[in-house]
Amino acid sequence: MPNIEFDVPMSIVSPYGPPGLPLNQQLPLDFADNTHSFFYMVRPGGYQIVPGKFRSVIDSISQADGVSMQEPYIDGLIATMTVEYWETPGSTDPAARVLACGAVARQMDEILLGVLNSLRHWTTDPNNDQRYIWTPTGAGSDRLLTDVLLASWPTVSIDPPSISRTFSLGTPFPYAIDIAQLSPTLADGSTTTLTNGGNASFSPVMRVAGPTTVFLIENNTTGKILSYDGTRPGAVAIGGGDYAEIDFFQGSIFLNGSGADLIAGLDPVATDFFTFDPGPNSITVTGADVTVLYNNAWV
Amino acid sequence: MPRWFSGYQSRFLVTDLFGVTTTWLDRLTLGASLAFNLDQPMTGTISMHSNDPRVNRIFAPDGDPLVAQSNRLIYTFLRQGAAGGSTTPWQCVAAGMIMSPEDQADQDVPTTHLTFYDAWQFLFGTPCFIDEAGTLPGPDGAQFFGTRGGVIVATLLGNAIFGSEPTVPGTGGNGYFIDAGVEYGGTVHWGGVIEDTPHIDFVVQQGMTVGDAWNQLLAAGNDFASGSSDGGVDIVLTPIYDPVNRPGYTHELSVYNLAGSDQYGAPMAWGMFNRSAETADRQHDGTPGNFIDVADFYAGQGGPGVGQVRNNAVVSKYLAYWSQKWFPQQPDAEAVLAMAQQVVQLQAQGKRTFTVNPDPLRAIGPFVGYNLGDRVPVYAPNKLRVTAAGLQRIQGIPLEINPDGVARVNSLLTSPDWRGRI
Repeated sequence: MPNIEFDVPMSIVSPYGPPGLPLNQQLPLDFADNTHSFFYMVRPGGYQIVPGKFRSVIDSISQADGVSMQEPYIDGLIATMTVEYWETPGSTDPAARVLACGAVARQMDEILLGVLNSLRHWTTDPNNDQRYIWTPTGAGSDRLLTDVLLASWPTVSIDPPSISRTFSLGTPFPYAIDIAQLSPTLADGSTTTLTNGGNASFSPVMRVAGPTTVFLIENNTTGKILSYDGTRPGAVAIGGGDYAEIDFFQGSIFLNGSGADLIAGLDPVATDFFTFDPGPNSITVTGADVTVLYNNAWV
Repeated sequence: MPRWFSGYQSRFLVTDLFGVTTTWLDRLTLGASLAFNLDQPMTGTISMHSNDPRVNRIFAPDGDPLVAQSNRLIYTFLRQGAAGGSTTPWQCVAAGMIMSPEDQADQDVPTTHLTFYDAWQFLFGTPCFIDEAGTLPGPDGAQFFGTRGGVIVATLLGNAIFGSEPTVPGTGGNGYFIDAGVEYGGTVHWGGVIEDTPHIDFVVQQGMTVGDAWNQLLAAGNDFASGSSDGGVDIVLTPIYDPVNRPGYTHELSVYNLAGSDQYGAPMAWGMFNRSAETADRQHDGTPGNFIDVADFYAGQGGPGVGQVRNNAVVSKYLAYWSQKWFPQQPDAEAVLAMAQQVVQLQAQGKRTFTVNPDPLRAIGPFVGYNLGDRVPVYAPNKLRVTAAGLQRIQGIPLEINPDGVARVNSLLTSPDWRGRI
């Protein structure tokens, strides 16, 4: 479980409320008197981040009577938590914190549901716009789940004076990552050691700079390679100024990240979309300069 | 359930008819099953979510989805080789054309189930020609006298390739997806074998497809009539993935007297060392139609009987089980007699099969340790009513691939009876 600290600062980044909805942190509430502050506090009970399945929702309207949250199919991590509403009426002193009720609770609930509801669909940039972040004690870097989607509709628990919501966020990635991304550039013909400082294998993204027709990327540590040949049927060379972006998790390769599909150039009998194992990984690139985007990964 | 090692990683690659990759289905399939059967076309089914862009995005060169029917080839790979360096860890174990997709949606989830067949199936829509000019047979059919069965197999394929329109336009190859060498319309890269099978008489009637004729040759390609040899015809289509040298090809042809070899290193043992089989299922089908010790076959439409073929020793022990058949598409008496002799040889003790589930951890892997037609040692102790101890020939290799993409053999089918064995 990549996080067991239920009480550290957290936030949920969503299309509804950038730059993120803080949890376990004090926030000003935009009331006219501007004297309140409020807290979304994560309860210890039931908090977990574990492997699970969920399904992304493209069309949230079911084709028949029934619930529109659909059956799971993606493997990844599921973060489940219960958030309780707190406020500091007439004060901004955290020590004056009491359970929220009335209009404050209503407004807090509306904000939270707005955030969670906006996570029912992929956005154009889920990597940056759909995140669950926390600050591990003493780790030196925030960690996060990226590309998160709402995995279970938030249920409400009203036990006066406590009001809370329980919900799950899912990511298709089987790991959490450090928020700091590493992006070394490996020169053509070089062998470089790249270290995954986490405790789980990470699927990197690589950008192979043109001009190049044939290139090879080898993970000498795991013995796996990725082989591209622009002379294969239907394949093309990468022009100068362009790059091939390889997503080792999705198993995709596109020109400049979102251009032409370059899949025809990959050699299926030799290629593995390999991972970076925890610790040092010896990477050799041949045929092009390669910029590697990777993070330390945690489970 | 497998003990630890659960099988090999799998990969599906889809191309157009010219060998251009349209999509990979890695991490996308919901499950798949492939059926490899001796002397039959291979079939495979794969399920996937229809609304994934790797499935339904349009492939610009032909305007069809990346996964489509009739103009998409699909190759199956297992990660069975060594990793790293210049080796090729992914081995092509199956190939074919997507012929029958089914798009199915429930209230929420659209799913595509597609069925693909190897190149053999395509030959059931391919007529037999009597020459390379594409001449269809006349009333007398295409007649082969004293010709080796393997040559007939290859000639019918070659005539189809030379004699009909290109099946892979633009490549210059009338490939029919099968490479049988330059002599039969294939390429210089062909690496198959066409063995010297027995000389036989054989007639291809009007209206027969190459697939039909191949099926008959499998039954009639032996020379038991001469009282010699265990030769016959086994047709093997070996899947190939060679888009650079052979774009659009999926298989290369081989014809053997008896495909396969003795694989003593691939024992299948249940209940005893090496415990490589998780389950065992011995079936002995002695019902009429499967138990045949008297064959009374007739050649042609209303033609003459070719003479009863009997196994008198079996008849005296187990009574007589007759099979009477007419072969309107085969007027040659010698060919029909050969069929009768093969049936009695293979089924004089009924249809005997042995099915095991190889343990992925302890049994050697499919295609690297054994293949169709190979003879493997099969062992079972007297915990079964009848023990098993000896070579059996592999008749079927069903490959199951789970949603994680892990492949394993489920219900390997073997038989103690094969041509020349009894």
